[in-house]
Amino acid sequence: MKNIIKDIINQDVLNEIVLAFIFFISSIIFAINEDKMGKEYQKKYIIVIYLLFFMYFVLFGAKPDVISNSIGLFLLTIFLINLICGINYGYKSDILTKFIGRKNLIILKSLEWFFVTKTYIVYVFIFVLGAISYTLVNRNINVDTTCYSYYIVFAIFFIYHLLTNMIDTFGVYSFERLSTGFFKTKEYFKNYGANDCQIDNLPNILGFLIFVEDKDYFFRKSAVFSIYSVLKRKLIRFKSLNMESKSRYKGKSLQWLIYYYSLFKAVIKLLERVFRNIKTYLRGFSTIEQQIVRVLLCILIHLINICIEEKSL
Amino acid sequence: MYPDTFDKYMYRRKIFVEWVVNPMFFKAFRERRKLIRRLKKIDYNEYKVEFLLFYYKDILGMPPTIDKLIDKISKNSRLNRYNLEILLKKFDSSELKPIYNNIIEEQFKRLNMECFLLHKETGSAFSNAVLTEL
Repeated sequence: MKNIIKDIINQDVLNEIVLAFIFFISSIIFAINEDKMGKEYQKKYIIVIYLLFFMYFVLFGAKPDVISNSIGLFLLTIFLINLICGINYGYKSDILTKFIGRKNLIILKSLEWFFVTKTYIVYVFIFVLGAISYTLVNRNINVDTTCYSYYIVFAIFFIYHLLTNMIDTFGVYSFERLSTGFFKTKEYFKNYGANDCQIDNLPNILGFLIFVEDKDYFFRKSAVFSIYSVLKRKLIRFKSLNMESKSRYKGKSLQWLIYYYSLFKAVIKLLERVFRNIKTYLRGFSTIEQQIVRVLLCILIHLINICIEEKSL
Repeated sequence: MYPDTFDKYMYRRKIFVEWVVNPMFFKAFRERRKLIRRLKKIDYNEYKVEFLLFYYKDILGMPPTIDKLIDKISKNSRLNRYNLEILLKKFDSSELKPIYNNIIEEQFKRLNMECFLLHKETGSAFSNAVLTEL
């Protein structure tokens, strides 16, 4: 196919075509004239990525030795395109999101784009290409017939990626949306009069809620679960329990050694319990912040309207 | 809102939403608050109690008593009513209860939400405190 192209067009025309193609790809990746990041844009992005692979196969040939040498180039290209899309996505984000800073914004938006368009399928595709090339090179199989295997794998992944993206409804709302909901609730509680207050002992209810859902809510600064905060909370419990035992050791030689030995034993016991129940920790253990973000910010873009309509009927 | 449907997206939800988006959102929120209030350091308990109220109203639908709260949690959680009642007993005798209550009451006073500190059974929390001091 490479020879056919060379026969039809001379070098100048080929250069023009390549320039036009680069402009076309960059206009899609930088989303020129795109209003928002809808499904249409995602589709264009996927098509462009697979088109690049196809172009590579046509121009440089789908040969095992060529492809096995350029796996690193493939990975770098996909990574850079993803990063550029992240920057582009960051430009269109709301003002509250921009408060996290340049570096974090690029990381967040690149990862968002990575998960929304399921770019990991492309990485699996590159891995499969590498595996095929490796086996073909090692076993010295006839090169002429093997190029079709690359095209078959290419077609399977391309169609699969498009179809999964078509039915996928995963997405994340803008931060501003959660923030406005939060301020509305704050105002609601401020205007909640003393006369129509039907809530019985709200601090106790909230305290119990924390006790059940997320015990170290007030003991940590971060929004995610950390072992340090758990140890901090356990230390308070340990201190209150061992006050008597501490006084019991008073007067004895090496009292501090006995006390810290019992503290060390308690920490080991806690760690042992955590590792024994690691499955439960992985399954659940969402902090209150995580639950808020998961329920109110993470969305199924298209399903949500249908669910609201069905509920209202 | 529709928590059951998220099982389909378990890994993306767990890895991306809970471990990347969540800390980023709270970072953005803190940075904006710092800028608006011209603070160098932020009091974490301030916004934590506010978000706790947000969680209580928007996700749990404001159950007015602990009994109704247990009903609500037992529907969505793997903990059943029996387990939650045992937890309630533990909570009443726990050393964490006064710590939580102190933080929450302090923040309620800051937010001018004293009406929530009036208890039905015991009357005013403030009056009780004043009486004991006298």
